Amino acid sequence: MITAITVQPTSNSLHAAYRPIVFQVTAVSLFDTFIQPPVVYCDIYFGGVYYKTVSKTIPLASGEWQFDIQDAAQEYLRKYLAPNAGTEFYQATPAMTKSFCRFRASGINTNGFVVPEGLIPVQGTGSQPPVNGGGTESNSFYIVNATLQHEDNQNLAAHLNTYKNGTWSAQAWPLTHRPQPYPIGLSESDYYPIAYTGISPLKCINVYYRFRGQTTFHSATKCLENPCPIVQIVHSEVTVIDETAQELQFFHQVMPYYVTGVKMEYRPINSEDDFTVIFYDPEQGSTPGEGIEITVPRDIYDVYFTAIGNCSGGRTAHLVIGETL
Amino acid sequence: MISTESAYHIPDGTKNVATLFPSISWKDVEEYYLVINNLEGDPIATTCNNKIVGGIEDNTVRLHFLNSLGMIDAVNFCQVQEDYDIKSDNSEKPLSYPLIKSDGGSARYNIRANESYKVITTLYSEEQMKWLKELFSSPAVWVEWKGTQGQADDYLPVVLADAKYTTLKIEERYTYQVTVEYRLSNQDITIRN
Repeated sequence: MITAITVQPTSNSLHAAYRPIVFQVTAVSLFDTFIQPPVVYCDIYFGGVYYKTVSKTIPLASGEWQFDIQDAAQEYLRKYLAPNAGTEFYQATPAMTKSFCRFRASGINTNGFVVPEGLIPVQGTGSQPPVNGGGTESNSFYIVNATLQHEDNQNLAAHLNTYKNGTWSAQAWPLTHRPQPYPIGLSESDYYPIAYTGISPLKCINVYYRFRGQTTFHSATKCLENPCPIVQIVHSEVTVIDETAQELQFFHQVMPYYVTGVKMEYRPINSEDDFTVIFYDPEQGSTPGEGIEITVPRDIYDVYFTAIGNCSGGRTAHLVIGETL
Repeated sequence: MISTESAYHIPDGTKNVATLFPSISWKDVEEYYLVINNLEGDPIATTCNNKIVGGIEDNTVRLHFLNSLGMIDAVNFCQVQEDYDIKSDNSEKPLSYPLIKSDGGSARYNIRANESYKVITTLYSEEQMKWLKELFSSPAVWVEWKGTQGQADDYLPVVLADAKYTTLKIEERYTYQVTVEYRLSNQDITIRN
């Protein structure tokens, strides 16, 4: 079993994919705590989803098992080119990810076979999604598809802090070394790249501009829509109560803080009657063991869910569920 | 849930902000910068001070490139030369009898044709050369393309020529002319038969 994680990235820290991202753990065999395990596994998770495992069979002289996940991060992360002349905040999802590792030890059983510890994760394939496994979990941190040169501060956040000009949140950094002033022509597309680790969505753009021959800056503000999340039903269940009634139960994902309610609409599948509408607390709908339950006559139902709150363009998830008589 | 923790591209170009702020007379603006707020109204980020220079209409070429931090920056150049490079192989075949006047014995095949460009800029100073090195060594570069034939504006992938760039000059230290050569990533498609 894993006894300690002795070296790991600080929680919520920022790292460059093209520099070492190192972990060290101590471990003992599953079957004899006085000997070292034959293999120690480091399961790498990107965006909360299992990506791949790296394993070691020989520890350092100190007895610690060392892993560097930069190769996996370089494999996983990608560039993203926003559309020409776009007018939204474009999330460059492929260029940055939240990551953690789960470590598992192993032992040699009485038949001489290596037995890995805990629940083994399964890699995703073209047709099957990955399945997360168990193990001792590290801190969570961020990796950016970035490099640092030899002379740069090897702490990515500290390096990027030196390129901040004007007002910045402690949870945002420029992902560019572009100069001040930055030349740009009329009718040209451009984006200012940033890394952001806050939970409050980006909302408004304030432009400060100066006309030729003037010294004062004018300003204007434009607030963009932040879309409500799509309600994703992660579990649904039908319980037949008797010959005429059934109970439908749903769970969905955890909603961001700005979603204050979820609207559920349902009606029998071939009905043209109005939908029955109920509103509920999103926390209730995402709490395992609670969820949302409705008791309805036995039939097949069209069910729609819409997240509502301090967001717009709430999108609807559609589900067909129920049992006929 | 939707994760807000991510890298973002903030629309920052004149073409982007002109759509967001149509009431501003952008042709009269000399410089501007943006401050981004979150849902609670707290400031999150401040962009560079953007200085408006000659536009895309006057032979300006804008190269967007993958920077060393994994995101996209752009540099303005002035196009000074365009070449059309053609390479091909030759084949020989016997003539038919009776002779067909339009039939040739020597033919061209495997024709490869592509445009290459030479562009220059004097917009950047010696201290900005460190940033320009990221363009010179970038693995992915695109040229900003104005849509034609009803197509939307977009980017065309290009390949920078390997070269040795002068980033520090002993004389004329404050006048920098950087020359870059590139070709389109997709060569012309030619008919074979």
